[in-house]
Order: sequence, then C-alpha cells, then structure tokens
Amino acid sequence: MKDAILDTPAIELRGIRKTFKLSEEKNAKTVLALDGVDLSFRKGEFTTIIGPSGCGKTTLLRIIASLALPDEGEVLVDGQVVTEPGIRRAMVFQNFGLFPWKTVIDNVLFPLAVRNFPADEAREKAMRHIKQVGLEKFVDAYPHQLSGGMQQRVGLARALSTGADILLMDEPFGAIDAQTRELMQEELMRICQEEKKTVIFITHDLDEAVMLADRVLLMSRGPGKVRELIPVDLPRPRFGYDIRAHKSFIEVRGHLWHELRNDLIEQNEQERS
Amino acid sequence: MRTRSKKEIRRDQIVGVAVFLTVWEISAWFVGSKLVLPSVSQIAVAFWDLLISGELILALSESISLLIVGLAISTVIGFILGALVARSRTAYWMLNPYFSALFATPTIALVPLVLVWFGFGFPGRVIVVILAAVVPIMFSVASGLRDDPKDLVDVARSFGVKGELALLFRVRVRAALPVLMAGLRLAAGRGVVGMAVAETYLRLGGIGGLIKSYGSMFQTDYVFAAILPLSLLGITLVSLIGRLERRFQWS
Repeated sequence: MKDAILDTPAIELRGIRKTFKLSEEKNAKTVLALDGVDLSFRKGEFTTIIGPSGCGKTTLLRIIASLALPDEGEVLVDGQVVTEPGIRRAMVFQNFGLFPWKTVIDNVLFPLAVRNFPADEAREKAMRHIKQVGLEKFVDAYPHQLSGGMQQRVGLARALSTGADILLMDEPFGAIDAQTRELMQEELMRICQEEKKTVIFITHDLDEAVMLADRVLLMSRGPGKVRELIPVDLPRPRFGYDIRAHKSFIEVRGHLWHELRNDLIEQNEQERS
Repeated sequence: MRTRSKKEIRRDQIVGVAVFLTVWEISAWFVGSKLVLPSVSQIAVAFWDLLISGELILALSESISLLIVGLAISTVIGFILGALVARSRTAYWMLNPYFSALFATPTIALVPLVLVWFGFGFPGRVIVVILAAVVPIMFSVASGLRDDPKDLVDVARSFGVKGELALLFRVRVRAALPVLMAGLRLAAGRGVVGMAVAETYLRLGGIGGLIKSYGSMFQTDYVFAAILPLSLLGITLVSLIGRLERRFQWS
C-alpha cells in the first residue's frame, strides 16, 4: 500500500490534445498544437522539455498549470483530475511575470495574499524565500530597479513561498545573461534537491536541458508530440566542476543535438514539398 | 538646458509673480479706470471684502460640492461605459461615435436642453458637469483596459485569482491606473469649465454666479477677485490628481 502511494506520479497527462483557432472567426482554420500526449512525472523528478519553436512546449506547460484546458484528455496531480490552478503547482515565467507596481516583498506575498494566509505567517514565509535567493537587501525595491537575474530570483522566491512541491518553469533563464544564468541554474538545482521538488522546465538551451535534468523530454514540431524521453545519468550534485566535460553529458547532448537537427530538416522538407 | 533645482524653480516663480504684479499695477495706473483694469491693490481690497462678508466661502463651498458630486458620478459612469467599450467590440462600435460627438460638442451648447430636461437646480448643474467630464474618463478607461496585460493575468490566475471581476480589479485596473489617472486629471479640468458654465448659464450660484453678477454690475475689481479662487480651485484639483498619478506610476 505504501508503495502504491509512492508510485503515484506527481503529475500524469492522459491523451492531451489541443487545437488552436488561427483567428477569431467562426469557421477559422485550426492548428493542432498537441496531439495525444501521455506522460507522467515522478515525485522529485527534474524534467526538462526541449524542442523546436512551435512544438507546443509552452502550451503543454500551460495545460499542466491549468492555465489552459485541453480539448481532450486530462491532467492529474497526485492521481486527482485538476481543471483549475492549484497551490501545489507554482509557475515561474519566462518574462518573470512580476507586478511592476508591487515591491519585491509584495510580489512574493501575492500568492499567499490571494489565498488568505494569515499576514504574519505569510510575511515570515516570504522573507525566508527572499533570503534563500539572496535578495534580503531588496525587499522594498520595485522590479524595474532590479536586473533580469534579480527579477527572476523574485519570481523563484514567489513560486517557492507558495510551498508548492511542483515547479512549472517556462524558459525561466532565457532572458538572463550567460554568467548569471549559470549561477541561477546552480541555485535552482541546490533548492530542488534540498526540498525534493518535482520540476518541469522548458528550455531551448541544449546545455541547460542536459545539465539540470533527470530526463530530457524532446518534443517534435507539428503536431506537438513527444519524440523521445532521454534519461540523463549524471551524478548529483552537478556543480563545482565542469560537468560539460563528463562523458554522459557529451553523449546525451550530442544525441539531442542530432535529433533536433533531424527534426528541423524533416520539417523544412515537408514545408517545401 | 541644465535641470533646475527645486529652490531655483521656486525663485523663478516668485520673481515672475513679482514682475507680473508690478507691470499690472503700473498698467492699471496708466489706464486709470477701475472699470477697465482695476489695480492689484483694488482687487486685493475687493477680495478681502468678499472674504469677510462670507460671500466667497459660501460660493466656494457651493462650487466645490457641485464639482465633487459631478466628478464622482462622471467617474462611475465613465468607468462602467469605458470597461464595457474596452471588453466588447459590439459595445465599442455602438457607443463610441456618441462619445466622440459629445467630446467634440461644447458643453455650453447643451445647456438649454439640460434646462428643459433637468431644471436649473442642483441636479441640472451636476448634469452639466457630467457632460463636460465624463468623456475623458470613459476614453481613458477604454484605452487603459484595452491593452490587456495577458502575461500578468496569467500570473494572477496561476496563483489562484479566480473570476473575471477579481482579475479586472486585481490586475487589469491596477495596470491601467496611470492611464486612468491621466483621464481623471483631464476630466477635472473640463469639470471646472462645466461647473462655471452651469453656474453662469443655468441659475446664478457658486463662484461662477459671483463672477457673472459682479460682471453685470460692472464691478470689475470684484470680478477679478472672484476669478482668482476659481483658477486656484482648478489648479489645486489638477495638481492633486497629478500627485496621485505619480504615486501610481512605477517607472
């Protein structure tokens, strides 16, 4: 019985299908964004999603977050079907998604305020996570006064303060400069390992996809399908040394690069014919 | 040009006022007619007289209450219609032409209709202020809410904000607030004009009535003494809203 509970995936996707209308008109053409996606994510597992642009990875993440509903299929969190955003799933956004009129602390407090947490407890939680990401000197600053890296730290602190055990991250470090990105990847790995988070992380960066992941989900374009699931067999912790020189890293990265390239070439040929 | 410090700006303003008043005083002395151009000192005496007789305070309180009631109702109506126009294409194409027409029509041209329909009492006057002020509010609400902050709405939804109304007030209105305040500032300026029109063309009352009645008695010094608080009222209101506006900006 105990094993059965442990085996329940944190997130399960069953037959997810999603189409989009190309315009507002009634008889507008539709495009298929996701075509029957079945996936499950184990607790504490770090999955990165990579694929060419337009492969439906952001749509998939939005469906997992219940920000969008699938046309067919269902999303299960801990075995329960969900149709609305919930406190166990927290999202980190590509463009940080901070409210420009709120200070750092108020941005981090937002999810707790919405859910009517007692003020003292909420503030204590928020401060703990602001410290965790090293922004305790900037609690009263506004987002526009912070660098991109700092803004995303606020985004991360906000997601963590909800206490969610599932983090949904949509290219969170895509808009951050290379050096800062490395530091933030390290921080993220450290936090996720300590707190046993289940993470689904979209990226377009091959190195990042391999470095962070327990497994990489490769998606293919038009219509969005899972092309391959690649386990990454690298020891943790993965920082403090040059992980890029590791044999497994080179293998997985090389394989991914090859597959992504093939996907692009196939796609171009299809478009030409 | 080098940016000026607050102290320097203050000094410039004081010098400007001093020069202006001196030129006025000298001109009045040359004109030599209290009817055409009363001197600064004569206006000051008239102002003092209006103040201690209580006439000014009474008129001012009448005007301010008219203005506040008018602007408050304008804000409510402007907000509802603006939100409607911003969120519905149908409402936009149905209502927008009328508002553009109302915006272009001088309020004073509508006074005879207001008189017939609503009388010359307080309700009629409030209607005139609303006709003057409602359109800028409605336009600013419409344009502020039309730029939908999609990303931030997603953020709010993902962290548990539910329902269109909650999203409207927690995200959309807050994001549009700088634009809304600019609209309110414009509306306040037009509202003061509407107020003066209502007070002089419906039935005499308030500051507008004071100006009109002293004008018809050719007491030009008293006319000036009454115009002064009217301008001050407008300036104070607009700068108050401007200050509020800056508080709601974030960059």
